[in-house]
Amino acid sequence: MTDIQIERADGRASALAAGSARRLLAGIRFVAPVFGMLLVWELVVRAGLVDGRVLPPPSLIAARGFEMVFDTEHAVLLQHIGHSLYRAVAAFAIAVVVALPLGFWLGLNRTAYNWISPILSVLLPLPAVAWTPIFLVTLGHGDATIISVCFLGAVFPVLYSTIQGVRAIPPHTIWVVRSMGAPRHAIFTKVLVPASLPTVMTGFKLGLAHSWRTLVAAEMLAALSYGLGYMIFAARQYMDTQTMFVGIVLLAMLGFIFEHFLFGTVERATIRRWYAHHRKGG
Amino acid sequence: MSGLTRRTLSAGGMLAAAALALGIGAGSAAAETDTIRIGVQAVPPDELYLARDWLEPYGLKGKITQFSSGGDMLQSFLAGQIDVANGGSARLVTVAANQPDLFYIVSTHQFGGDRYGVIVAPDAPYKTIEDLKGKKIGAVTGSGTFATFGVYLDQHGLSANDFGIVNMKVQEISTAVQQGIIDAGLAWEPHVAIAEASGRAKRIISLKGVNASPNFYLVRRDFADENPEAVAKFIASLLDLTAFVEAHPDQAGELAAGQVSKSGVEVDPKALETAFTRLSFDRKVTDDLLAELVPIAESMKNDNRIKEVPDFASLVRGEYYEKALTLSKAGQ
Amino acid sequence: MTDIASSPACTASRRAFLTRRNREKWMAWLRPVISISVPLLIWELASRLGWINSFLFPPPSQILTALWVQAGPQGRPPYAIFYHVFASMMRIVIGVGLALVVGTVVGMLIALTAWGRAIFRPIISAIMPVPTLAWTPVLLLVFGIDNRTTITVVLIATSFEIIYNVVAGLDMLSKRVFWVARSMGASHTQTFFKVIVPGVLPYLITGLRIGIGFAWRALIAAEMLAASSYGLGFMIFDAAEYFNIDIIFGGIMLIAILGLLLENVVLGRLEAATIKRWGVQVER
Repeated sequence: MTDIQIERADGRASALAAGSARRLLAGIRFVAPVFGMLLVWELVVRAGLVDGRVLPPPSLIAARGFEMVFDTEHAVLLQHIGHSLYRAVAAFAIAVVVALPLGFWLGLNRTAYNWISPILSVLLPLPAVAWTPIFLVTLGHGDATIISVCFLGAVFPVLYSTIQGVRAIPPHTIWVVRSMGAPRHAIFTKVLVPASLPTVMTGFKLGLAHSWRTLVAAEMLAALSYGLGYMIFAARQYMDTQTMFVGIVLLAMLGFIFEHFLFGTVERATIRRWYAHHRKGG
Repeated sequence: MSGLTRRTLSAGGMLAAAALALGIGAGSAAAETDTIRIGVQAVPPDELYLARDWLEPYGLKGKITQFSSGGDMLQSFLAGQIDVANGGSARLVTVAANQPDLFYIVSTHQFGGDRYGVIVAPDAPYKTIEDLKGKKIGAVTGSGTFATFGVYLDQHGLSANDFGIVNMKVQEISTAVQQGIIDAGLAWEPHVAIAEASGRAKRIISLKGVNASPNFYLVRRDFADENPEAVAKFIASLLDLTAFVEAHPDQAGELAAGQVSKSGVEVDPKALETAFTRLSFDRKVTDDLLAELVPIAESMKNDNRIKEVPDFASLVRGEYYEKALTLSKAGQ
Repeated sequence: MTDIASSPACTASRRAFLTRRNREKWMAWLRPVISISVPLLIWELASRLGWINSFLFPPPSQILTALWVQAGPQGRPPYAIFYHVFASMMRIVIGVGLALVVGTVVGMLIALTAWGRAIFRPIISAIMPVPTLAWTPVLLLVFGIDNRTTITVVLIATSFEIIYNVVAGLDMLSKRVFWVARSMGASHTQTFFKVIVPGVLPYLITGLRIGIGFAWRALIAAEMLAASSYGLGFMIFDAAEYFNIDIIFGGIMLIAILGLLLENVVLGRLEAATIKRWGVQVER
């Protein structure tokens, strides 16, 4: 959502080959410093400048990661990843199911919005993790609590963005379409949905990111067995920093994939469909 | 794809069920069950309980969930996730004062102050509790261990305010002591024995004789009323386990060590054998053991944390234990 | 206003307009009060009448009483609430203060120097997707159970947002502005104070506001995980150990109210003031 974008290789005018070469260069320019950092890290630890037990070198972290996939019963690392993904995605899906209709209703109905928005503005800055103790005594430890906490983390960004997206549509657009005799569902599919889509997509992106970020803490507090958050926290018990960093690297990678590729693709697929011809026309 | 949708749906259903449970208070399943949902902790008798299927001779299936501490387990017990839990001290008093209709006390789990100890780093200069004044002590603050520690401090004219008490998970205490993150740690068995055996820490204080700090087995009423047979069978399996530990403490240590190693820690079986010798577990709920809860409840009432001292005797149901005596394979 | 009133008709319509505006103004105040207190009232009733489990969902009046007791000499420890609030606030202020320094320096390096851009951009893009709280176990190993752990969590949570906004702000000041300023004979210091600062400040404030939102969330969770002795997150975690459900809910309420104040009132004011002073608004 707020990443510092790499410079886009803008080789449209030049030949295709030149463009891809430039893209390759951009890729190298992005990857090289990261590799440089890893190399410095490795050397610093190997040279004994930093305690290897606190900050294990990248090579050992990678080795530990492979070991956890190939040398354990049932590929334990994949189990952790699977549980985490399931919880984050389930929470996000429930959040969408709840927030989308609610958001459209609040966005369209001014009275409802006026009455309900004060409650939302109190709940919005409240960290979802703060609810964990309450869920623990009502739902117990495990998936139900974790998914509920992540749901609370994801639902507000989606809801908020949906409301904003719908409210930003000028009312006269709806009046005009309605006065032309368009049926209700057409107003919905032809006006409301396309017009609010960019904002709603931002909300989805934020919602999934929040679900993912909340998950780590929720798993540390409430998981009984699996999950990346649980894995990192449990590793602390044995001072197993290698496992901790395996978890951290995986969280970063999965988060990156969520925030960039997944929604990047969806955004391109949906928003282009509605907006591409506009752009051509302009 | 369909698998994913189904999972998502089931999660949705779970949340809906959760929402219902919030209002109604979750109830457990219907009549005549062959499965009992048991919560256990990471303490030696529970590790041993996990190591072997003790319910198998009675034709009962156990769905056993292991929790990091009694607090976590009681939370899930309140939430209706498990039918059987064990608990004692302040947390049991709180639940008994607020939810007396929720559960019965059917048996004891373990007791004896010797299962609690104060550990320090192997090369630390501290020898007595006075040496630790003003130092950081790691503890699980809601635990029975901590409550007994409070009584111990009382006896020595000290209070928790004389130390920097750091609330943490019990598993972290010994490594935190070793790392010097805290100066001393207060823990229960087997954590003390494991820390000693692994050379991470040494025990300088045992809370033996301070009080018995009994832990009791609690069963949800809705479960016990519908499945009296299952509860008796469960207690019978506990009696078998007790008999086994008394007859073969060495084998018990080995079995429990094998169980602990499944979670990735290698433990010396001797350490667990030591741990078993540091606790008592006669399964009968006696008046003396119950009476231990009263001073805790009284001090909590004085602190306004509970309204009334609960009538603990009214929560006890002895008939399951009596029945278990006739069922137990070891007893015959 | 009275002078302008010339014809009676005009006065009447004006009065009607005023009362309507007045009523709207009143409603704007009244509405939040009603819409928040009605659910609380229903909760109170439901709990008192036994429709919901009053142990798991104690009535709000009991929650407020518990908070009141904890805020007074009868609390455990006495005046506990103030200690908890103070501890959390201190961590936020120090962590965000550090993040301001670190974030501004790194942000300026990225925006103004080629090597800073080459080195920091990719590294930040690689580290940023890590959920802040994933660092807590590592920080616990490095710092122990200590204020340093929670403060570092706040620092991490806030920094990225500040860096991002400083870079965005500086990028907006196109190079030409510098040239113009320099060619008009402005000194280095003048360029800095008259061009860079006013240009970047609104962005910095926006970054700060969003960053503090993240920081507050991260801090509460970090206090629950790296439980030191005080802090609101610690307070609810500790209350859960003892099943003091009323204190858990009280803590949640305090966290919500403080979060609201922090994000909207304090920083909202600050933002409004900078916009007024420098006349720039950042679109986000």
